[in-house]
Amino acid sequence: MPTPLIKLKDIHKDYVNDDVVTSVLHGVSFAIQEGEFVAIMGPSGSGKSTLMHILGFLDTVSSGVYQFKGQDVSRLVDDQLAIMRRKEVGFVFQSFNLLPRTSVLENVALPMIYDQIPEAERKVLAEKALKIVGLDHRLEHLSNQLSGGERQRVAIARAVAGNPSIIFADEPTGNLDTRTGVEVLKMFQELHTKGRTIIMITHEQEAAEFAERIISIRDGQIISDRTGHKRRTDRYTK
Amino acid sequence: MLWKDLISSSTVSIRRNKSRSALTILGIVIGIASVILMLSIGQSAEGLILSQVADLGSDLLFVEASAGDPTSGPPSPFVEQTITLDDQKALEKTGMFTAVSAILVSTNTVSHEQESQFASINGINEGYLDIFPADLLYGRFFSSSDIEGYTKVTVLGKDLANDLFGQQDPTGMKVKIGSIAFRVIGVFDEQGTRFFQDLDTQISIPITTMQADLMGVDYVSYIVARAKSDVDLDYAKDEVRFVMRDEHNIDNPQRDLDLDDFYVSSQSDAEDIIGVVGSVLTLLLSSIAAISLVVGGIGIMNIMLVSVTERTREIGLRKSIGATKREILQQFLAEAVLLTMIGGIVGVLGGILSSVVIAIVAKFFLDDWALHIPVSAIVLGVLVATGVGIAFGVYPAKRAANLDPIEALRYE
Repeated sequence: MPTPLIKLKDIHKDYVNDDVVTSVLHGVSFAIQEGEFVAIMGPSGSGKSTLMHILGFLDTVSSGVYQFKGQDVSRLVDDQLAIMRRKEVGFVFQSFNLLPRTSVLENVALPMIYDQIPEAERKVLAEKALKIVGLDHRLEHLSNQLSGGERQRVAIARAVAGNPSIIFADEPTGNLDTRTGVEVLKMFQELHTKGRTIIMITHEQEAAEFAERIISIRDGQIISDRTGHKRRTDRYTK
Repeated sequence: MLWKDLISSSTVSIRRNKSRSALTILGIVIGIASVILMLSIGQSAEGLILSQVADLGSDLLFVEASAGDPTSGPPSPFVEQTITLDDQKALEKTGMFTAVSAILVSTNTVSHEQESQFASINGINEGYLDIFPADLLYGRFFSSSDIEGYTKVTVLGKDLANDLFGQQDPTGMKVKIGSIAFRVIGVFDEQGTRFFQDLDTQISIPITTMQADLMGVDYVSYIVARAKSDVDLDYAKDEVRFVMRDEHNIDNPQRDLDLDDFYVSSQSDAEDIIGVVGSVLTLLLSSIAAISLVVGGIGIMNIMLVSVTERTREIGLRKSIGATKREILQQFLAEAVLLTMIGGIVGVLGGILSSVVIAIVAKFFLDDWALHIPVSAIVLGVLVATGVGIAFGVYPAKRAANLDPIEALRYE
């Protein structure tokens, strides 16, 4: 078996607030291979968001080992985390987080600014990414002129444009109606078939079933890790 | 992040909030504009006075009453008037001067029939025109017999003559100063201003008549003497002090100016004093300007803090896609600096424009007013504005840079 893209060993995460210690994750271990489409599912307060923040280099572990591409990344500091985010990770958020009054093209090209990719190249890559999500006809539209589904597609284009190793989607359908939600989920499936590694955080069973592997988490621990279920590709009810 | 991208992203966010950006920099604009305007007015005024002093000629000595050396400490509020016509005669006798003129100044009502004006009155003698040359429009100037004879004759400034007599030649007619009648013997041609005094509205009479009949005094306000061309002015100054001490019976072998009851100065002394006044004025204006720039800077800081709070999610997003603390700091600092730089440039333009307007207006009242644009202030203005941007932009930028990306992304 090749070196996994992500490998967690006994991850613990505690938050200290006014001397009160809240333990959010206690002993989480799993591995994710390159090219997987994984859903991390759990109710609110289960620790799934914290887990994603750690995996996405937005937060660090309290104890345990996080290996990324075989390298121990558990003890990275602020700037190293920022470099990992810019080089390795693309994020898709529940509330899209596009820059307001800014063109679709500029929004998609934004992460590449921090990677010091020259403007001309940024434009080419951003247009390519927008073509993948089917918005290449709206390059100059402003972000606030788009519908919710279109905004999330722009956000997906932004996440994939820099060609990161992994895409994190945090409740990507949470602000969308069912139909556009399905469109977005199918887009992830499509990206997956093209070889992208995707980790999606969700509290919805039906959304999770679009992924090929579902890790369920509750009270900071993994309660199941399933593959081989019948994958959804169509309409679901919330 | 490349420099180019840093600047373009700052430009974009400033342009995205045009009216707010404009309001933000208003303080800086006004601050810089007022610095330039004030310095321009200061320099122009100083230049005007200096040019008028220079016009007098570098060979003039002024002798006035003084309790000690007026440049060595604060001036005494009560100065005994100690200079007399005898002093003038004594100075004439030295043979160092081509002309010596004693001058007594006062104000009173000047009237002719129904017309009446409040005017400056100059008591002068026949040597006056050798010190302050002027042309006569009508009639003649005072002769030595007018002075010695205590005659009640007068020479009018052009505008005053116009106000009292209209366009006609008033020589031979009567005017009253207070209740005493004087015969008009001449009218000066247009003279303009000297030291912000409009000479054309003044009235001149023999100094002897003024002392005896008008004021009942035996002193004069000051004596002006023009040195001969082969006389060294510093030597002349010392000689004048000698003569004056002799006249006033002052025992002062140490030549201590503080013991004298008079003070001798030359044109270059006057220029020095004006220079000192000018620098104090500049210092004063600069401190006011500095205060206004600090206030402007606080305005920038306020708005930047609001902007950071408002854009918390944007900052969270930028961090999540890989911006380092340093890059966030740079971005917000660049915005602040760019804002204040724009403010500085607009302020400089506004300052120049208002200086030009002021100069045009001032020229109506003061013919010799010349427009000065302080180039150093322009450079300094833009630099200071930029400095203010850095100084007051750091704190908001640090706040932005230190935001936790997770918290920032959740911010509503």
